[in-house]
Amino acid sequence: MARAPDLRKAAVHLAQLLGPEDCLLVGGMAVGAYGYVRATKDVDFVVRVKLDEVRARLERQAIRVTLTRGDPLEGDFPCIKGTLDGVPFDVMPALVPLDWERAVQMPMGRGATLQVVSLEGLIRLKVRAQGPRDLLDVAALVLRHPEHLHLARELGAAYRVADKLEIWLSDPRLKAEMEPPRRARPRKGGRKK
Amino acid sequence: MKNPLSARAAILLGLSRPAYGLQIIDRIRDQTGGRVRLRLGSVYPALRDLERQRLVRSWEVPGARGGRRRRYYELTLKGLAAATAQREVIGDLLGGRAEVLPPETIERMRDRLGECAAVSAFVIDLRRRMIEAEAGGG
Repeated sequence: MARAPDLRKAAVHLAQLLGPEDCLLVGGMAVGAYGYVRATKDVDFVVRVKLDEVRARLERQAIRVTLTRGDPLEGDFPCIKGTLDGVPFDVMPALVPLDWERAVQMPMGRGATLQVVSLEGLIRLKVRAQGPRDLLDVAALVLRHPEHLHLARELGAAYRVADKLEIWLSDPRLKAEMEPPRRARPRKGGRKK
Repeated sequence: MKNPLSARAAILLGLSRPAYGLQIIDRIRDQTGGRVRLRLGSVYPALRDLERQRLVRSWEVPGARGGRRRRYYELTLKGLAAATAQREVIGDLLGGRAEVLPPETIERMRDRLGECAAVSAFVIDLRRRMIEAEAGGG
C-alpha cells in the first residue's frame, strides 16, 4: 500500500533545494502555522530569485517541473509546479512586497531551517489571491489574530472583495473555531437550588 | 526640508500594499517619520509615468454607499523588483525592522505545521482510497 506523503518533510526538503535563505513558506501550511490548521494538498513557496534559476536548481536535482507564465498587468503571475517526495508544490515570485526580515526562522532539526512568511505578508498574499479558500483563510487568521483585522479590511476594500471577506468574518462556525478561548469566570456563591 | 526622495522613488517604496493617491501620501509620510511629504500634484504624474513603464498597475473601485470612486495602484512584478533594488539602497529611511518571536511561539508554530501535515496526509490518503474504491467498484 502506498504511504501517505509527509508534507512537512517535503517542505523542509524543498526549502533546502531552493536555498533556505531565498524562500518563504506560504499557502495552506503557513496558514496552519499561524493557527488555522486545515488540510492542504500541496506545499507553496515564494522565492526572491528568478524562476528560471529555481527551475535550473530543481532540474539539477532531477526534479521535473513546469514553468507557467502569466500576464502581470492582468494580475497573473508565473509559477513553477512540480512534485517532490510525492507532494505537489508551487513556487512563485513574491507577488506583494514582503519583509523578508520579518520572516519566522523555524529550526526543523538536523540543522535545517524553514522560513515562514510573516503573518502580515501571508494576509497580503491571500487577499491578493482573492479566491474563496484564500478569503476564508484570511478571515480565520484575523479572527485568531484580531490585531490584523484593519489590514485585512483595508486590503479587502482595495481588491473589491470586502463583502466576501465580511461574510466569512461573521460566519458563526468559523468564529467559534477561531476566536481565542475566553477564560471562564469563577461563579459567585455557587449554584442556586 | 527638501524631500530626500523623488516622488517616483517614494511611491515605489510606499506601495507596500495597494493604495489610492491620498493613502500613498499618508503612508510615505508615516513610513519615513514625516521626512518625506509628497503632494498630490507630484504623485499623480509620477503614478502615470510608473504605469506607462509597467511598474505599477491600477484599477477603479466603486465608493462604499455611493461614495466617490477610487483608483488603486499596486506594484507589478517588475515594479517589485525595482522597489526591492531601491530599498536596498535607501532602506534606512524606512522604519520597521525585524521582530523576533518568542521561542515558545515558534515552537507552537512548528507543532501546528506537524498537525497540518498530518491532517493533510489523512485527507490525501482518504481521497486516494475513495478513488481506488470507485475504480474497483465501477
